[in-house]
Amino acid sequence: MDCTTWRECASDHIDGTLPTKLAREADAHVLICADCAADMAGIQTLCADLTALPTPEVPLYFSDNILSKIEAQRESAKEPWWRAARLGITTTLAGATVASFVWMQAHPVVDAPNRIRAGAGASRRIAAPAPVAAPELNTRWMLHADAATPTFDVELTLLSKSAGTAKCTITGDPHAYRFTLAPGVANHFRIPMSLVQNENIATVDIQWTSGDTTHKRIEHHPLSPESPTPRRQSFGIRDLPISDAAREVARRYNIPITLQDIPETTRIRVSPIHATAEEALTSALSGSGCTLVTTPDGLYISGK
Amino acid sequence: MRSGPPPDERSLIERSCKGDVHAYDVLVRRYERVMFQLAVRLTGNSDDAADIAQEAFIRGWNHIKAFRREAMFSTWMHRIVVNVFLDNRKKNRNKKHISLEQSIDASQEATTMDIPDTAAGPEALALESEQQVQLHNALMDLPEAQRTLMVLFHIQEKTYEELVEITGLPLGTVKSRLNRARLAMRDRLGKRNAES
Repeated sequence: MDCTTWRECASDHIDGTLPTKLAREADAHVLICADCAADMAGIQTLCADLTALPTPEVPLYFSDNILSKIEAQRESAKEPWWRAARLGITTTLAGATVASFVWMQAHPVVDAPNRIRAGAGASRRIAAPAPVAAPELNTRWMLHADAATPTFDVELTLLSKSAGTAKCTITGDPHAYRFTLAPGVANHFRIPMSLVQNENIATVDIQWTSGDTTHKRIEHHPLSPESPTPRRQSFGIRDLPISDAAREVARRYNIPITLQDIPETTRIRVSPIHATAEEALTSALSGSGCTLVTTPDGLYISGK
Repeated sequence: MRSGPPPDERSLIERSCKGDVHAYDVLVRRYERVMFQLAVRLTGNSDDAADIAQEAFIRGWNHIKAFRREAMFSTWMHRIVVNVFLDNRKKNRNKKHISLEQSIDASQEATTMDIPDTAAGPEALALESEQQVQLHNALMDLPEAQRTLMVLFHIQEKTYEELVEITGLPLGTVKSRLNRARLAMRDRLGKRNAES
């Protein structure tokens, strides 16, 4: 056997799949040909080294992204009348939002309508004051999109009888806003959109007291809650602190989420498959001791 | 003798065929690692690999009804990953990659542009030694058809029979291409070692 012939059947020789006669000739050739012997050893090493190449890590959310794309594909394949209806609903909602915004600008509400009872899973919008068992803090978010410098104005009003204090920190803003809260008196602070527009969501951390009690609230507020997003989604958020996970859910579903008195150590995993935000968080919060309430203004999660 | 997928997998495939995305999710999670690894070794970088493997799984979902029940799901997915890889290479060969941010002055007689290599370096693929980097580079130097066979046979540890099924090539072609690929890699690595 010569070198050319050996190279033609090198793989079969190395793999041991040559017929007996040819295998003997190949064996004999590599005994007398140093080049082919070196090639044979080189290929054997090469094969072993290829097998030993490290396995790269699968990117985070790899499979979740696949599911999201499949869901999006399914959504877009739905009937045209549904798409038309969705567009109509979106347009109507957007119109209603603009109208309500204009109305609120023209008729400021002194008694803030958005109310959260601390420690209880109450609705954020209550028409008439209810008996107060725990200190209450109202928040109201107002978007000034058409101002020279667009801002979110946040209004805080303490509704309990005892005075208190509040310290508000906005993600991305090094300053803290401190207030002395008098019952029934509105306090305001302003969030420049420039602070949050990259993230498309504003997060405010409010530590507040009333009488002898202290509370902590985190509010995640999308910049444009009227923008349409798929109502049902599939994705994965793996084992994050509850506030970070809630922020991601708020961002993905474009829905405001408030967390009230949640232990900082609480972590959740959110992995909805074709689920609404409510369903996703309900499932994620099971066993955490937290309560989820759906309100007209978004989702409200309270601790034990 | 092939007996098709194991029973639990068969049930997942049946459910997927009926549109059960939860069942398909289980299959995706079961094979994501293997398919991503295959794509990484074919493309040489993890960004392109993630795109290819994801596209393959989506293609799998769209064509799950065409899956032959007597085949192995993993072999079928291997074939899809390889096809997506080869399709993308074909598409990319027909495209010119010029950034919109780069402007070319047409009045200049000669224009030179540095086109950066945006592929992740070998360090991003967790290659631990200089020898592994050389091996990776030699693999990437191979023509795509040969690289595909090398990756499937040596890294994914597929048999010749499976290679035939995945690539759709006759056994003789698979063997001769694999032989050429091994010799080419050996020559490249031998030359580099001799130079260094």
